[in-house]
Parts: sequence; structure tokens; C-alpha cells
Amino acid sequence: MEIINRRNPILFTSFCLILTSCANEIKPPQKSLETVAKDWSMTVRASQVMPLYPLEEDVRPGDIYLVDKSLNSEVKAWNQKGFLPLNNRFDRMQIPQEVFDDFYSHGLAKDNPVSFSRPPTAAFPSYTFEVDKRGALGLAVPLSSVPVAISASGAQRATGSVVFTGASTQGLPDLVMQKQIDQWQLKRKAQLSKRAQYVGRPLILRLITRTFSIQGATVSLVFSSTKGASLQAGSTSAPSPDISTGTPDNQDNLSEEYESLIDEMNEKIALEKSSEDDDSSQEDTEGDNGDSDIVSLKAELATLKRLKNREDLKSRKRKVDRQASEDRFGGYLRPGGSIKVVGRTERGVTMSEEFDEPLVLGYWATEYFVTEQGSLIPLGSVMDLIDNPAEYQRLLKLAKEIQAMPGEEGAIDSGLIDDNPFVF
Amino acid sequence: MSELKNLEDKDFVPFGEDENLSCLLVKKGDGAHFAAVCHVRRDERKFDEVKKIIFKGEDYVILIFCRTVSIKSRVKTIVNMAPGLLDVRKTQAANADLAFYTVELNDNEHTMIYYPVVTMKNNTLQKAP
Repeated sequence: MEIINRRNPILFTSFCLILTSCANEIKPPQKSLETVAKDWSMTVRASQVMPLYPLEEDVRPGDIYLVDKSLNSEVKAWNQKGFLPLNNRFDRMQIPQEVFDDFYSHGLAKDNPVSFSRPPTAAFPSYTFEVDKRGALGLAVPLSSVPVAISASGAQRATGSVVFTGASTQGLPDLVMQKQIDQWQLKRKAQLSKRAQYVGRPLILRLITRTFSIQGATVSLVFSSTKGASLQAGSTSAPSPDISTGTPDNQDNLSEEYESLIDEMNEKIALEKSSEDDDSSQEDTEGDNGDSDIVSLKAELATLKRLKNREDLKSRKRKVDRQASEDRFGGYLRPGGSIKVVGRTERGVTMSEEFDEPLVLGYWATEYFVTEQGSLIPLGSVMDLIDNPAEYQRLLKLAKEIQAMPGEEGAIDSGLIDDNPFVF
Repeated sequence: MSELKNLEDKDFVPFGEDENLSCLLVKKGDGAHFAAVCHVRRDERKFDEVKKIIFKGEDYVILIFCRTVSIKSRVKTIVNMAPGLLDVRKTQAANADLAFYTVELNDNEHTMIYYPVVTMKNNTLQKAP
């Protein structure tokens, strides 16, 4: 390294850049992952739905969560992450199917009317995202196809769009849910009371009133690369016999950079040698300096060749892994569902991802304050509380102030029938 | 059933409400006070002032949420009203053009919250006709 630095600062800078780029691939930057996760969640939130991250099958209307953190903590988590972690599921209200059937009984559709088993459909706007950090590309987007495509392409930068497919919604109106939770609360009052007393601060109960699910997603990715990288991610038909042929990716670009640097070094050595030959007949005293220049240049060249070989080996290993993946899945990958490449271009790919079961990507919820006696005071929708925590905090402050107020005693009635205390 | 009986398994019991005030019998404690505040706020009515009536040795209070300072200053309370006098006092209060609410507390004794009904005329408060 010192040799390269002393001889050629530009070469040293290039060398450092190559090493840095290699190092960046090892560890995904946390911040980039969080940003993608937040962007995803905020997009879902923009559709008037509270995001669930990651997507989950087992969330239903009637699920009850107890939030023993303060609302400030919730708001902080919301602002940082873009979603509220649903951690402490307390219970699941068993809502009879008849309740859903009754609610859906006056539907407009005559053919295939909505029911508990055929929930109403929904539609979401498409979601676009952009990621540009190596190693973190798309990993925070909770769809398998995104990291699969990015990993296969080896791209440095990508722009993607997601269109949810098979979206549906399942839920009941607030009035119906209120009746359900009133009945549930009578059975769980003692447990709620115990929990509220244990927590020792306002305990919030979150009742899921509606969920939004998707059956799959179509993901389109466009990869950006400074040297025209293209994609080889999966295959719609039989895998190509030689995957390495015509598969430019960033490893190839890296290899080209090494080749360029090696050529440059060879030219320098050739120049040094020719100038040494010319000068050797005139000045024998400078011969030692000329020899040492060539030796150091040759050492740099050897270092570069070693690095190039190492990168080439890594690149070959990746290609073998990719080929093995294609051989195994034949273009279809099944990480809990299935991914199918439905189209690809020189610089992009469109993948269709289907889940085995619908996954919930968002919800509506109503929040209640749990009193120490175990009763529930409705606070409003979770979206209202998160969007306007100041109001909740104002009420908390007011309650504390009222409790601290000294108060006054009323006038004692004389007890005499002829007295009229209202004559002023 | 008296309001105090109701309070056994509740944090608060509302016993009077109009456009100017809300009266609640409330258990002492953080949670109960917060619950009462949330209840009053539920329909987004505006209450600027709160009057608190205390009872020595009891674990409850009466909270009167008043729309304005002016209303708060007019609100009065009579406590320890014997059951036999309740109707008499109600008649007297009605004859005096008062708005009033009563709540039954210990030993069947009643407490009355009352205030003169006022109307706005030429931007000044006037006693109702």
C-alpha cells in the first residue's frame, strides 16, 4: 500500500475506492434499511391505513393489544420507524361469523356477494422506492422478490415500484365493534384491572377493527449502473447453459477497472524501461534510481494482479451460486410463496410474487384507555391519536392538574323545610 | 340505585349535563380523573374551567366541567340534603330559575349542583325570564 501511495496518488485513490466498495457489500447499512422500511410504511399510511411491518398473516379484526408504553414513546417510534410495533397481543375477541354475515347481508352484488369467506376487495396505489446503498438494496422492503432480484443482479442502485395484487379488507363498523368489546370487557375486567394497576400509568388498549390484506405483489425494478450493468435474475424458461456469458454485473465492472489499472501500470513500466535504456549509455550514476522505480512499479503491478484474481474468484463463486439457484428453482423461487419473473429488459426486471396465504399489510384500530377498575374509555382511532398526540397529552396534564387541585366543600343544607337557600 | 353504588365498579358517574356544564361523581386517583376528562372531551365540547367539590373522609369528589369562567363563578353546591327535603329544594330551585342537578351520596343524603340560567343579550349575560 505504501509503495502505491508513494508512487502514484491517483492509483492509490482508485485502489482505496475498490477496497471500500468491496467492504460496503459485507454489511448492510442500518440507516438505509430503516429508511426503506419507513418509506414503505409511510406509503401504506398515505392510503389511510396503519402499516403492519413486516407483513403478517395472523392479524384479524378483534385482536386486542395492550400498549403499556406511554403515548410519547409510541409517537417517537412512529416518527422514527413509520409504524407501530404490535407486540403485546393480549387477546383475540372471537367475533361470531353471524356478526359478519349480518353486516354483509345487505350487499349490492348479487353474484358472489361479499361474506366472511369472501371479503370485499380493495385497491392500493402503487409504491415506488429507490435504494442506493450496497448490501442494503431492497432488503427492508417486505417482499421476497426485491432482495432476490437485487441479489441476483449485483446492482449498486435500483428504482422499484410495487403494485399490490389481490387486495381485500375485512372488518366491522365501530358501532358493532363497540358492542363486541363491551361484552368482552365484562369477562376480562379483573385481568384488565390487574394489568392497569401493575403498569401504574395510563394503559392503552388497541382493538383492531379492520385489516387490509394482499395476496401478492408485482415488483418492477430498474437497476442503475455507471457501466451499463444488466440483470440476470431467475428465468422464465429453462436456465441458460452458460450463465456467465453476457452477464455483465458490478463484478465485471470491477474486473474491467482492474484491467485498466494493470494496463496503465504496464505502460508505465514499459516507459520507464525504454527511458532507462536511452539514458544508460549517458549516465551510469542514475541507473540505480531507474531500477528501483521499475521494481516498485512491478510490485504495484503484482499487488493489482493478486487483487484482480481474488475478485475474479469471488465473481465466479457468485455466478456458480446463481446457477445453482436457477437449477434448483427453475426460475421460480419459493420463500414462503412463489416468485416468477414475468418480464425483463436490459436494465430491469418485473417479478410477480404470490403468497401462500393473504398477508395483512395494514389495519384500522380504535384505542381505549384502561382504567384501574378495568373499564374502557374510548380515545378514538389510533390514527387520530398518533397524528394528534398533543390533545391526548393535554388531557393527561389536565387530569393531573385537576387531581392536584385543592377543591372546595359545598354549603351544608340547613335541614329546615321553611328555609330557601336559593333566595339571594 | 344511587350514583354512589354505581361508582363501586366504575371510575366515574355522570349525573348532570347541559350546554354549560358537565357534573361527574369521580373516584379519587389518576386513572379515574383521566377517564372523566376523556369522557367529557368525547363529543369535543369545550370546557375551560373545572370546579372540584370534595367530601371529608370520602374517596370520591364531584367534578364540574364549566364552559366558561363566568359559569364556574355562578355554580353553587348544597350538600347533606336530607331525602325528605329533596323535592322541596328542587321546587325552590325551579322557582328561582335555576338549572340544577342532584346526586345521591352516603346515608341517602343528596348533593345539589345549581346555577342561574342565563342568556346572552346585547353581548351581556342576562337572567332568564
